[in-house]
Amino acid sequence: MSDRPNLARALALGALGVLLLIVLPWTLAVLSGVRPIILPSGWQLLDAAGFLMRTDTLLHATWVSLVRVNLGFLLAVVTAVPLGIVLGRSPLLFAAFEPVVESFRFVIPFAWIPLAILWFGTSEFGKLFIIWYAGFFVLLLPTIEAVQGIDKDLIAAARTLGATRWTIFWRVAFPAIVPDLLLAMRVAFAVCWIAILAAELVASRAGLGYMITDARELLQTEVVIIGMVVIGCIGAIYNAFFIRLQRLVQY
Amino acid sequence: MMAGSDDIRLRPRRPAAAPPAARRAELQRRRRAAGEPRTRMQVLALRLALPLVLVALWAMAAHSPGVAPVLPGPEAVLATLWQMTTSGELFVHVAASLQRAFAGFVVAGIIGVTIGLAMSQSRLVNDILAGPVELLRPISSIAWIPLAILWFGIGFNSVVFVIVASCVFIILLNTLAAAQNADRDLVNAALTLGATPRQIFTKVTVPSAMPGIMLGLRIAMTGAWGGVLIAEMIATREGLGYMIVRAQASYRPDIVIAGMIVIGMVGYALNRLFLALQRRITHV
Repeated sequence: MSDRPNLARALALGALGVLLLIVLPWTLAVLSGVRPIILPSGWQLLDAAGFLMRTDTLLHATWVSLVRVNLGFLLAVVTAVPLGIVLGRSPLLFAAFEPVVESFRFVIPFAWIPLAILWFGTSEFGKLFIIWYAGFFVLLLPTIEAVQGIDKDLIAAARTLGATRWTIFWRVAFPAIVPDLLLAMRVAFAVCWIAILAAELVASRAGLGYMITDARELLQTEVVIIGMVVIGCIGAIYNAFFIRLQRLVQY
Repeated sequence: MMAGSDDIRLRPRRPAAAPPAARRAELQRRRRAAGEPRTRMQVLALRLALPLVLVALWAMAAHSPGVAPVLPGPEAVLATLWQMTTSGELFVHVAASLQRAFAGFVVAGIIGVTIGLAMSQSRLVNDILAGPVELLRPISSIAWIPLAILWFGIGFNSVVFVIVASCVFIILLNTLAAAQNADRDLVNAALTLGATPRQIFTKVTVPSAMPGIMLGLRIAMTGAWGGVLIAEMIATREGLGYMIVRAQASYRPDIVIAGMIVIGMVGYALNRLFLALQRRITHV
Protein backbone atom coordinates (compact mmCIF):
# COMPACT_ATOMS: atom_id res chain seq x y z
CA MET A 1 0.00 0.00 0.00
CA SER A 2 2.67 2.48 1.02
CA ASP A 3 5.05 1.01 -1.53
CA ARG A 4 5.68 4.22 -3.44
CA PRO A 5 7.05 6.39 -0.64
CA ASN A 6 9.12 3.42 0.51
CA LEU A 7 10.59 3.00 -2.94
CA ALA A 8 11.37 6.71 -3.19
CA ARG A 9 13.03 6.61 0.21
CA ALA A 10 15.08 3.54 -0.72
CA LEU A 11 16.19 5.14 -3.99
CA ALA A 12 17.12 8.42 -2.29
CA LEU A 13 19.10 6.64 0.42
CA GLY A 14 20.73 4.39 -2.19
CA ALA A 15 21.85 7.46 -4.13
CA LEU A 16 23.09 9.01 -0.88
CA GLY A 17 25.07 5.83 -0.22
CA VAL A 18 26.69 6.01 -3.66
CA LEU A 19 27.55 9.67 -3.08
CA LEU A 20 28.97 9.08 0.39
CA LEU A 21 30.84 5.83 -0.20
CA ILE A 22 31.99 6.08 -3.82
CA VAL A 23 31.79 9.62 -5.22
CA LEU A 24 32.99 11.46 -2.11
CA PRO A 25 36.10 9.34 -1.40
CA TRP A 26 36.94 9.40 -5.11
CA THR A 27 36.67 13.21 -5.28
CA LEU A 28 38.70 13.63 -2.10
CA ALA A 29 41.38 11.31 -3.48
CA VAL A 30 41.57 13.27 -6.74
CA LEU A 31 41.62 16.62 -4.92
CA SER A 32 44.37 15.47 -2.60
CA GLY A 33 46.55 14.84 -5.62
CA VAL A 34 46.45 11.10 -6.24
CA ARG A 35 48.15 10.39 -9.55
CA PRO A 36 45.72 9.88 -12.46
CA ILE A 37 47.27 6.46 -13.03
CA ILE A 38 45.73 5.35 -9.73
CA LEU A 39 42.46 7.29 -9.96
CA PRO A 40 41.62 9.63 -12.83
CA SER A 41 39.26 12.53 -12.26
CA GLY A 42 35.73 12.70 -13.64
CA TRP A 43 36.87 15.09 -16.39
CA GLN A 44 39.59 12.71 -17.49
CA LEU A 45 37.01 9.93 -17.63
CA LEU A 46 34.68 12.00 -19.81
CA ASP A 47 37.56 13.01 -22.02
CA ALA A 48 38.61 9.39 -22.49
CA ALA A 49 35.00 8.33 -23.11
CA GLY A 50 34.72 10.97 -25.85
CA PHE A 51 37.95 9.78 -27.42
CA LEU A 52 36.84 6.12 -27.29
CA MET A 53 33.53 7.00 -28.96
CA ARG A 54 35.18 9.07 -31.70
CA THR A 55 37.65 6.36 -32.58
CA ASP A 56 35.05 3.57 -32.40
CA THR A 57 37.37 1.60 -30.10
CA LEU A 58 34.76 1.02 -27.41
CA LEU A 59 31.91 0.10 -29.77
CA HIS A 60 34.10 -2.30 -31.69
CA ALA A 61 35.39 -4.00 -28.54
CA THR A 62 31.87 -4.30 -27.15
CA TRP A 63 30.56 -5.71 -30.41
CA VAL A 64 33.31 -8.33 -30.62
CA SER A 65 32.74 -9.50 -27.04
CA LEU A 66 28.96 -9.59 -27.44
CA VAL A 67 29.10 -11.66 -30.62
CA ARG A 68 31.48 -14.14 -29.00
CA VAL A 69 29.52 -14.53 -25.79
CA ASN A 70 26.16 -14.91 -27.55
CA LEU A 71 27.48 -17.52 -29.97
CA GLY A 72 29.20 -19.51 -27.25
CA PHE A 73 26.16 -19.30 -25.01
CA LEU A 74 23.83 -20.49 -27.78
CA LEU A 75 26.20 -23.35 -28.50
CA ALA A 76 26.09 -24.34 -24.83
CA VAL A 77 22.29 -24.18 -24.77
CA VAL A 78 21.76 -26.33 -27.87
CA THR A 79 24.20 -28.97 -26.62
CA ALA A 80 23.55 -29.04 -22.87
CA VAL A 81 19.74 -28.89 -22.85
CA PRO A 82 19.08 -31.87 -25.17
CA LEU A 83 21.77 -33.93 -23.42
CA GLY A 84 20.31 -32.94 -20.06
CA ILE A 85 16.83 -34.04 -21.14
CA VAL A 86 18.14 -37.41 -22.33
CA LEU A 87 20.19 -37.96 -19.16
CA GLY A 88 17.30 -36.86 -16.97
CA ARG A 89 14.98 -39.39 -18.59
CA SER A 90 17.29 -42.38 -18.49
CA PRO A 91 18.72 -43.47 -15.13
CA LEU A 92 21.04 -45.84 -16.99
CA LEU A 93 22.66 -43.13 -19.13
CA PHE A 94 22.74 -40.82 -16.14
CA ALA A 95 24.71 -43.37 -14.12
CA ALA A 96 27.12 -43.76 -17.04
CA PHE A 97 27.67 -40.03 -17.58
CA GLU A 98 27.72 -38.87 -13.97
CA PRO A 99 31.39 -39.62 -13.16
CA VAL A 100 32.56 -37.81 -16.30
CA VAL A 101 30.33 -34.80 -15.65
CA GLU A 102 31.38 -34.70 -12.01
CA SER A 103 35.09 -34.73 -12.81
CA PHE A 104 34.94 -32.13 -15.57
CA ARG A 105 32.76 -29.87 -13.45
CA PHE A 106 35.68 -29.14 -11.14
CA VAL A 107 38.12 -28.30 -13.92
CA ILE A 108 37.05 -24.66 -14.02
CA PRO A 109 36.77 -22.94 -17.43
CA PHE A 110 39.73 -20.63 -16.78
CA ALA A 111 41.99 -23.68 -16.53
CA TRP A 112 41.20 -24.47 -20.19
CA ILE A 113 42.46 -21.13 -21.47
CA PRO A 114 46.15 -22.13 -21.88
CA LEU A 115 45.21 -25.43 -23.54
CA ALA A 116 42.77 -23.64 -25.85
CA ILE A 117 45.60 -21.33 -26.88
CA LEU A 118 47.86 -24.30 -27.59
CA TRP A 119 45.17 -26.02 -29.64
CA PHE A 120 43.52 -23.16 -31.46
CA GLY A 121 46.00 -20.31 -31.15
CA THR A 122 44.28 -17.00 -30.59
CA SER A 123 41.57 -17.82 -33.13
CA GLU A 124 37.85 -17.47 -32.47
CA PHE A 125 37.56 -21.25 -32.00
CA GLY A 126 39.49 -21.13 -28.74
CA LYS A 127 37.28 -18.40 -27.31
CA LEU A 128 34.05 -20.12 -28.38
CA PHE A 129 35.32 -23.31 -26.79
CA ILE A 130 35.97 -21.58 -23.45
CA ILE A 131 32.52 -19.93 -23.42
CA TRP A 132 30.80 -23.14 -24.44
CA TYR A 133 32.61 -25.09 -21.73
CA ALA A 134 31.79 -22.48 -19.10
CA GLY A 135 28.08 -22.53 -19.92
CA PHE A 136 27.72 -26.24 -20.61
CA PHE A 137 27.94 -27.66 -17.09
CA VAL A 138 26.03 -24.79 -15.51
CA LEU A 139 23.16 -25.70 -17.87
CA LEU A 140 23.50 -29.48 -17.87
CA LEU A 141 23.06 -30.27 -14.17
CA PRO A 142 19.93 -28.13 -13.58
CA THR A 143 18.37 -29.52 -16.78
CA ILE A 144 18.91 -33.08 -15.56
CA GLU A 145 17.45 -32.23 -12.17
CA ALA A 146 14.48 -30.45 -13.73
CA VAL A 147 13.64 -33.45 -15.92
CA GLN A 148 14.03 -35.85 -12.99
CA GLY A 149 11.70 -33.64 -10.96
CA ILE A 150 8.81 -33.65 -13.43
CA ASP A 151 5.58 -34.77 -11.77
CA LYS A 152 5.16 -38.43 -12.77
CA ASP A 153 1.40 -38.27 -12.17
CA LEU A 154 1.07 -35.53 -14.78
CA ILE A 155 2.74 -37.72 -17.40
CA ALA A 156 0.62 -40.70 -16.40
CA ALA A 157 -2.55 -38.59 -16.64
CA ALA A 158 -1.62 -37.39 -20.12
CA ARG A 159 -0.91 -40.96 -21.18
CA THR A 160 -4.27 -42.14 -19.84
CA LEU A 161 -5.93 -39.43 -21.90
CA GLY A 162 -4.30 -40.96 -24.98
CA ALA A 163 -1.54 -38.41 -25.65
CA THR A 164 1.32 -39.53 -27.90
CA ARG A 165 4.93 -39.34 -26.75
CA TRP A 166 5.54 -36.16 -28.76
CA THR A 167 2.46 -34.49 -27.33
CA ILE A 168 3.51 -35.45 -23.83
CA PHE A 169 6.98 -34.05 -24.42
CA TRP A 170 5.93 -30.74 -25.96
CA ARG A 171 2.73 -30.11 -23.99
CA VAL A 172 3.53 -31.59 -20.58
CA ALA A 173 7.20 -32.31 -19.92
CA PHE A 174 8.83 -29.36 -21.69
CA PRO A 175 6.59 -26.64 -20.20
CA ALA A 176 7.25 -28.18 -16.79
CA ILE A 177 11.02 -27.65 -17.03
CA VAL A 178 11.00 -24.21 -18.71
CA PRO A 179 11.14 -22.17 -15.46
CA ASP A 180 14.14 -24.18 -14.24
CA LEU A 181 15.78 -23.88 -17.66
CA LEU A 182 15.44 -20.10 -17.68
CA LEU A 183 16.97 -19.85 -14.23
CA ALA A 184 19.87 -22.04 -15.36
CA MET A 185 20.27 -19.93 -18.50
CA ARG A 186 20.48 -16.76 -16.43
CA VAL A 187 23.25 -18.21 -14.28
CA ALA A 188 24.97 -19.73 -17.32
CA PHE A 189 25.01 -16.46 -19.22
CA ALA A 190 26.63 -14.70 -16.28
CA VAL A 191 29.30 -17.41 -16.18
CA CYS A 192 29.84 -17.18 -19.96
CA TRP A 193 30.24 -13.42 -19.68
CA ILE A 194 32.98 -13.87 -17.07
CA ALA A 195 34.63 -16.59 -19.15
CA ILE A 196 34.88 -14.54 -22.35
CA LEU A 197 36.41 -11.61 -20.47
CA ALA A 198 38.95 -13.98 -18.93
CA ALA A 199 39.78 -15.50 -22.31
CA GLU A 200 40.16 -12.05 -23.86
CA LEU A 201 42.34 -10.91 -20.98
CA VAL A 202 44.80 -13.75 -21.49
CA ALA A 203 44.66 -14.37 -25.23
CA SER A 204 43.10 -11.95 -27.62
CA ARG A 205 43.64 -8.95 -29.83
CA ALA A 206 40.07 -7.67 -29.62
CA GLY A 207 37.12 -7.39 -27.27
CA LEU A 208 36.42 -5.64 -23.96
CA GLY A 209 38.72 -7.93 -21.98
CA TYR A 210 41.58 -7.10 -24.36
CA MET A 211 40.70 -3.41 -24.29
CA ILE A 212 41.13 -3.15 -20.53
CA THR A 213 44.39 -5.18 -20.33
CA ASP A 214 45.81 -3.20 -23.20
CA ALA A 215 44.82 0.05 -21.45
CA ARG A 216 46.43 -1.23 -18.26
CA GLU A 217 49.72 -1.82 -20.05
CA LEU A 218 49.57 1.72 -21.47
CA LEU A 219 48.67 3.05 -17.98
CA GLN A 220 45.37 4.46 -19.26
CA THR A 221 43.40 3.96 -16.06
CA GLU A 222 40.48 6.00 -17.48
CA VAL A 223 39.97 3.44 -20.23
CA VAL A 224 40.17 0.56 -17.72
CA ILE A 225 37.41 2.13 -15.61
CA ILE A 226 35.20 2.89 -18.61
CA GLY A 227 35.63 -0.71 -19.73
CA MET A 228 34.62 -1.94 -16.27
CA VAL A 229 31.48 0.20 -16.38
CA VAL A 230 30.48 -1.14 -19.79
CA ILE A 231 31.16 -4.72 -18.66
CA GLY A 232 29.01 -4.21 -15.57
CA CYS A 233 26.18 -2.63 -17.57
CA ILE A 234 26.06 -5.45 -20.11
CA GLY A 235 26.02 -8.05 -17.33
CA ALA A 236 23.21 -6.21 -15.56
CA ILE A 237 21.17 -5.81 -18.76
CA TYR A 238 21.32 -9.51 -19.60
CA ASN A 239 20.49 -10.39 -16.01
CA ALA A 240 17.42 -8.14 -16.11
CA PHE A 241 16.42 -9.63 -19.47
CA PHE A 242 16.46 -13.19 -18.13
CA ILE A 243 14.58 -12.17 -14.97
CA ARG A 244 11.93 -10.63 -17.25
CA LEU A 245 11.68 -13.88 -19.22
CA GLN A 246 11.37 -15.86 -15.99
CA ARG A 247 8.48 -13.65 -14.81
CA LEU A 248 6.80 -13.94 -18.18
CA VAL A 249 6.80 -17.71 -17.96
CA GLN A 250 5.56 -17.85 -14.41
CA TYR A 251 2.23 -16.20 -15.23
CA MET B 1 33.62 -39.29 26.33
CA MET B 2 32.47 -35.88 25.22
CA ALA B 3 33.74 -36.34 21.71
CA GLY B 4 32.00 -39.69 21.50
CA SER B 5 28.60 -38.34 22.44
CA ASP B 6 29.10 -35.43 20.06
CA ASP B 7 29.79 -37.85 17.27
CA ILE B 8 26.56 -39.69 17.83
CA ARG B 9 24.57 -36.49 17.84
CA LEU B 10 26.15 -35.29 14.61
CA ARG B 11 25.57 -38.42 12.65
CA PRO B 12 22.59 -38.23 10.30
CA ARG B 13 19.48 -40.08 11.37
CA ARG B 14 19.39 -43.77 10.47
CA PRO B 15 17.23 -44.69 7.51
CA ALA B 16 13.95 -46.47 8.22
CA ALA B 17 14.05 -50.24 8.62
CA ALA B 18 14.65 -52.17 5.39
CA PRO B 19 11.46 -52.91 3.46
CA PRO B 20 10.10 -56.47 3.68
CA ALA B 21 11.09 -58.98 1.02
CA ALA B 22 7.92 -58.69 -1.04
CA ARG B 23 8.19 -54.93 -1.25
CA ARG B 24 11.88 -55.16 -2.08
CA ALA B 25 11.19 -57.51 -4.98
CA GLU B 26 8.51 -55.17 -6.25
CA LEU B 27 10.92 -52.22 -6.05
CA GLN B 28 13.57 -54.14 -7.94
CA ARG B 29 11.09 -55.15 -10.63
CA ARG B 30 10.09 -51.53 -11.06
CA ARG B 31 13.68 -50.41 -11.22
CA ARG B 32 14.42 -52.96 -13.90
CA ALA B 33 11.42 -51.81 -15.88
CA ALA B 34 12.74 -48.27 -15.66
CA GLY B 35 16.04 -49.48 -17.10
CA GLU B 36 18.04 -49.04 -13.90
CA PRO B 37 21.07 -51.24 -13.30
CA ARG B 38 20.60 -54.18 -10.95
CA THR B 39 23.65 -55.15 -8.97
CA ARG B 40 26.46 -53.19 -7.42
CA MET B 41 28.94 -54.66 -9.92
CA GLN B 42 26.82 -53.57 -12.84
CA VAL B 43 26.60 -50.05 -11.46
CA LEU B 44 30.36 -49.95 -11.03
CA ALA B 45 30.97 -51.22 -14.55
CA LEU B 46 28.52 -48.69 -15.90
CA ARG B 47 30.17 -45.82 -14.09
CA LEU B 48 33.67 -46.86 -15.19
CA ALA B 49 32.78 -47.46 -18.83
CA LEU B 50 32.62 -43.91 -20.15
CA PRO B 51 35.72 -42.60 -18.36
CA LEU B 52 37.70 -45.58 -19.67
CA VAL B 53 36.42 -45.01 -23.20
CA LEU B 54 37.36 -41.34 -22.99
CA VAL B 55 40.88 -42.10 -21.75
CA ALA B 56 41.28 -44.70 -24.54
CA LEU B 57 40.13 -42.14 -27.12
CA TRP B 58 42.56 -39.61 -25.66
CA ALA B 59 45.42 -42.10 -25.91
CA MET B 60 44.50 -43.01 -29.49
CA ALA B 61 44.22 -39.39 -30.54
CA ALA B 62 47.53 -38.56 -28.88
CA HIS B 63 49.36 -41.32 -30.71
CA SER B 64 47.94 -40.69 -34.15
CA PRO B 65 50.43 -38.96 -36.45
CA GLY B 66 50.40 -35.18 -36.55
CA VAL B 67 48.69 -34.66 -33.20
CA ALA B 68 51.54 -35.64 -30.90
CA PRO B 69 53.04 -32.21 -30.13
CA VAL B 70 49.77 -30.51 -29.03
CA LEU B 71 48.20 -33.47 -27.26
CA PRO B 72 50.49 -35.63 -25.13
CA GLY B 73 49.05 -39.01 -24.16
CA PRO B 74 47.71 -39.89 -20.70
CA GLU B 75 50.93 -41.73 -19.84
CA ALA B 76 53.06 -38.68 -20.70
CA VAL B 77 50.85 -36.44 -18.56
CA LEU B 78 51.00 -38.91 -15.67
CA ALA B 79 54.78 -39.07 -15.97
CA THR B 80 54.99 -35.27 -15.87
CA LEU B 81 52.63 -35.18 -12.90
CA TRP B 82 54.78 -37.72 -11.08
CA GLN B 83 57.99 -35.90 -11.89
CA MET B 84 56.58 -32.55 -10.72
CA THR B 85 55.27 -34.14 -7.53
CA THR B 86 58.55 -35.80 -6.61
CA SER B 87 60.60 -32.70 -7.42
CA GLY B 88 58.33 -30.68 -5.13
CA GLU B 89 57.72 -28.08 -7.85
CA LEU B 90 53.99 -28.81 -7.85
CA PHE B 91 53.62 -28.18 -4.13
CA VAL B 92 55.19 -24.74 -4.39
CA HIS B 93 52.52 -23.72 -6.90
CA VAL B 94 49.63 -25.44 -5.11
CA ALA B 95 50.67 -23.89 -1.79
CA ALA B 96 50.94 -20.42 -3.34
CA SER B 97 47.50 -20.68 -4.94
CA LEU B 98 45.85 -22.08 -1.83
CA GLN B 99 47.42 -19.45 0.38
CA ARG B 100 46.13 -16.61 -1.80
CA ALA B 101 42.69 -18.15 -2.24
CA PHE B 102 42.43 -18.63 1.52
CA ALA B 103 43.57 -15.08 2.32
CA GLY B 104 41.10 -13.56 -0.14
CA PHE B 105 38.32 -15.83 1.02
CA VAL B 106 38.82 -14.93 4.69
CA VAL B 107 38.90 -11.19 3.97
CA ALA B 108 35.79 -11.44 1.78
CA GLY B 109 34.09 -13.60 4.41
CA ILE B 110 34.71 -11.10 7.21
CA ILE B 111 33.58 -8.12 5.09
CA GLY B 112 30.62 -9.92 3.52
CA VAL B 113 29.18 -11.48 6.69
CA THR B 114 29.65 -8.31 8.77
CA ILE B 115 28.03 -5.99 6.22
CA GLY B 116 25.30 -8.53 5.43
CA LEU B 117 24.36 -8.87 9.11
CA ALA B 118 24.50 -5.09 9.61
CA MET B 119 22.19 -4.57 6.62
CA SER B 120 19.74 -7.14 7.95
CA GLN B 121 19.49 -5.37 11.31
CA SER B 122 18.80 -1.81 10.16
CA ARG B 123 16.60 -0.44 7.39
CA LEU B 124 18.73 2.71 7.20
CA VAL B 125 22.01 0.83 6.83
CA ASN B 126 20.35 -1.47 4.31
CA ASP B 127 19.03 1.36 2.12
CA ILE B 128 22.27 3.34 2.20
CA LEU B 129 24.52 0.38 1.39
CA ALA B 130 22.15 -1.07 -1.22
CA GLY B 131 23.14 1.66 -3.71
CA PRO B 132 26.89 1.04 -3.78
CA VAL B 133 26.40 -2.73 -3.58
CA GLU B 134 24.03 -2.81 -6.56
CA LEU B 135 26.38 -0.53 -8.48
CA LEU B 136 29.53 -2.58 -7.90
CA ARG B 137 28.00 -6.07 -7.94
CA PRO B 138 27.52 -6.49 -11.72
CA ILE B 139 31.18 -5.68 -12.43
CA SER B 140 32.65 -9.13 -12.94
CA SER B 141 35.71 -10.11 -10.95
CA ILE B 142 37.74 -10.38 -14.17
CA ALA B 143 37.20 -6.71 -14.90
CA TRP B 144 38.92 -5.80 -11.62
CA ILE B 145 42.20 -7.47 -12.61
CA PRO B 146 43.72 -4.62 -14.67
CA LEU B 147 42.73 -2.05 -12.04
CA ALA B 148 44.13 -4.27 -9.28
CA ILE B 149 47.48 -4.41 -11.10
CA LEU B 150 47.49 -0.63 -11.56
CA TRP B 151 46.77 -0.17 -7.85
CA PHE B 152 48.85 -2.90 -6.23
CA GLY B 153 51.33 -3.97 -8.89
CA ILE B 154 52.11 -7.56 -9.79
CA GLY B 155 51.93 -9.94 -6.82
CA PHE B 156 50.11 -11.17 -3.73
CA ASN B 157 48.02 -8.04 -3.03
CA SER B 158 46.59 -7.85 -6.54
CA VAL B 159 45.52 -11.47 -6.51
CA VAL B 160 43.92 -11.20 -3.08
CA PHE B 161 42.08 -8.06 -4.14
CA VAL B 162 40.65 -9.84 -7.19
CA ILE B 163 39.54 -12.80 -5.06
CA VAL B 164 37.83 -10.49 -2.57
CA ALA B 165 36.06 -8.74 -5.47
CA SER B 166 35.00 -12.10 -6.91
CA CYS B 167 33.40 -13.47 -3.74
CA VAL B 168 32.43 -10.69 -1.37
CA PHE B 169 29.04 -9.99 -2.98
CA ILE B 170 27.94 -13.63 -3.02
CA ILE B 171 28.71 -13.88 0.70
CA LEU B 172 27.08 -10.55 1.49
CA LEU B 173 23.83 -11.22 -0.35
CA ASN B 174 23.46 -14.77 0.98
CA THR B 175 24.08 -13.55 4.54
CA LEU B 176 21.58 -10.73 4.11
CA ALA B 177 18.87 -13.00 2.71
CA ALA B 178 19.47 -15.64 5.38
CA ALA B 179 19.35 -13.14 8.24
CA GLN B 180 16.25 -11.43 6.86
CA ASN B 181 14.46 -14.76 6.58
CA ALA B 182 15.27 -15.75 10.16
CA ASP B 183 12.22 -17.46 11.60
CA ARG B 184 9.73 -14.73 12.66
CA ASP B 185 7.99 -17.02 15.13
CA LEU B 186 11.27 -17.76 16.89
CA VAL B 187 12.09 -14.06 17.12
CA ASN B 188 8.60 -13.30 18.48
CA ALA B 189 8.83 -16.15 20.97
CA ALA B 190 12.18 -14.85 22.19
CA LEU B 191 10.70 -11.33 22.47
CA THR B 192 7.77 -12.65 24.51
CA LEU B 193 10.19 -14.38 26.83
CA GLY B 194 11.86 -11.03 27.43
CA ALA B 195 15.02 -11.39 25.35
CA THR B 196 17.00 -8.23 24.65
CA PRO B 197 17.66 -7.25 20.99
CA ARG B 198 21.27 -8.27 21.49
CA GLN B 199 20.24 -11.70 22.76
CA ILE B 200 17.84 -12.13 19.86
CA PHE B 201 20.61 -11.30 17.42
CA THR B 202 23.20 -13.68 18.87
CA LYS B 203 20.87 -16.48 20.00
CA VAL B 204 18.15 -16.48 17.33
CA THR B 205 19.02 -14.55 14.16
CA VAL B 206 22.61 -15.67 13.67
CA PRO B 207 22.04 -19.37 14.41
CA SER B 208 19.00 -19.56 12.16
CA ALA B 209 20.85 -17.71 9.39
CA MET B 210 23.83 -20.06 9.64
CA PRO B 211 22.80 -22.55 6.91
CA GLY B 212 22.28 -19.68 4.43
CA ILE B 213 25.57 -18.06 5.38
CA MET B 214 27.43 -21.35 4.99
CA LEU B 215 25.85 -21.93 1.59
CA GLY B 216 27.00 -18.48 0.46
CA LEU B 217 30.50 -19.19 1.75
CA ARG B 218 30.67 -22.49 -0.14
CA ILE B 219 29.59 -20.92 -3.44
CA ALA B 220 32.06 -18.11 -2.80
CA MET B 221 34.85 -20.60 -2.23
CA THR B 222 34.40 -21.98 -5.73
CA GLY B 223 34.55 -18.37 -6.92
CA ALA B 224 37.72 -17.78 -4.93
CA TRP B 225 39.39 -20.83 -6.48
CA GLY B 226 38.48 -19.61 -9.97
CA GLY B 227 39.51 -16.07 -9.13
CA VAL B 228 42.94 -17.08 -7.87
CA LEU B 229 43.70 -19.01 -11.07
CA ILE B 230 42.74 -16.30 -13.51
CA ALA B 231 44.45 -13.61 -11.42
CA GLU B 232 47.62 -15.71 -11.25
CA MET B 233 47.64 -16.09 -15.02
CA ILE B 234 48.15 -12.36 -15.31
CA ALA B 235 49.40 -10.90 -12.07
CA THR B 236 52.01 -13.19 -10.49
CA ARG B 237 55.15 -15.21 -10.89
CA GLU B 238 54.03 -18.42 -9.14
CA GLY B 239 50.92 -20.47 -8.41
CA LEU B 240 48.94 -22.97 -10.50
CA GLY B 241 47.46 -20.31 -12.80
CA TYR B 242 50.93 -18.96 -13.55
CA MET B 243 52.28 -22.49 -13.94
CA ILE B 244 49.91 -23.44 -16.76
CA VAL B 245 50.17 -20.12 -18.61
CA ARG B 246 53.94 -20.38 -18.39
CA ALA B 247 53.80 -23.97 -19.69
CA GLN B 248 51.63 -22.81 -22.58
CA ALA B 249 54.15 -20.10 -23.49
CA SER B 250 57.04 -22.58 -23.39
CA TYR B 251 54.99 -25.11 -25.37
CA ARG B 252 54.59 -27.84 -22.75
CA PRO B 253 51.04 -29.19 -23.14
CA ASP B 254 51.85 -32.04 -20.74
CA ILE B 255 52.40 -29.55 -17.90
CA VAL B 256 49.25 -27.64 -18.90
CA ILE B 257 47.09 -30.78 -18.71
CA ALA B 258 48.80 -31.97 -15.51
CA GLY B 259 48.04 -28.56 -14.02
CA MET B 260 44.40 -28.79 -15.09
CA ILE B 261 44.08 -32.17 -13.40
CA VAL B 262 45.55 -30.78 -10.19
CA ILE B 263 43.23 -27.75 -10.39
CA GLY B 264 40.23 -30.06 -10.69
CA MET B 265 41.38 -32.27 -7.81
CA VAL B 266 42.04 -29.34 -5.48
CA GLY B 267 38.66 -27.84 -6.38
CA TYR B 268 36.97 -31.14 -5.64
CA ALA B 269 38.81 -31.54 -2.33
CA LEU B 270 37.92 -28.00 -1.26
CA ASN B 271 34.27 -28.64 -2.06
CA ARG B 272 34.21 -31.88 -0.07
CA LEU B 273 36.00 -30.26 2.84
CA PHE B 274 33.51 -27.43 2.92
CA LEU B 275 30.51 -29.74 2.63
CA ALA B 276 31.78 -31.65 5.68
CA LEU B 277 32.35 -28.39 7.54
CA GLN B 278 28.92 -27.14 6.56
CA ARG B 279 27.25 -30.30 7.85
CA ARG B 280 29.15 -30.03 11.11
CA ILE B 281 28.31 -26.39 11.76
CA THR B 282 24.68 -26.42 10.69
CA HIS B 283 23.80 -29.61 12.56
CA VAL B 284 25.22 -28.59 15.93
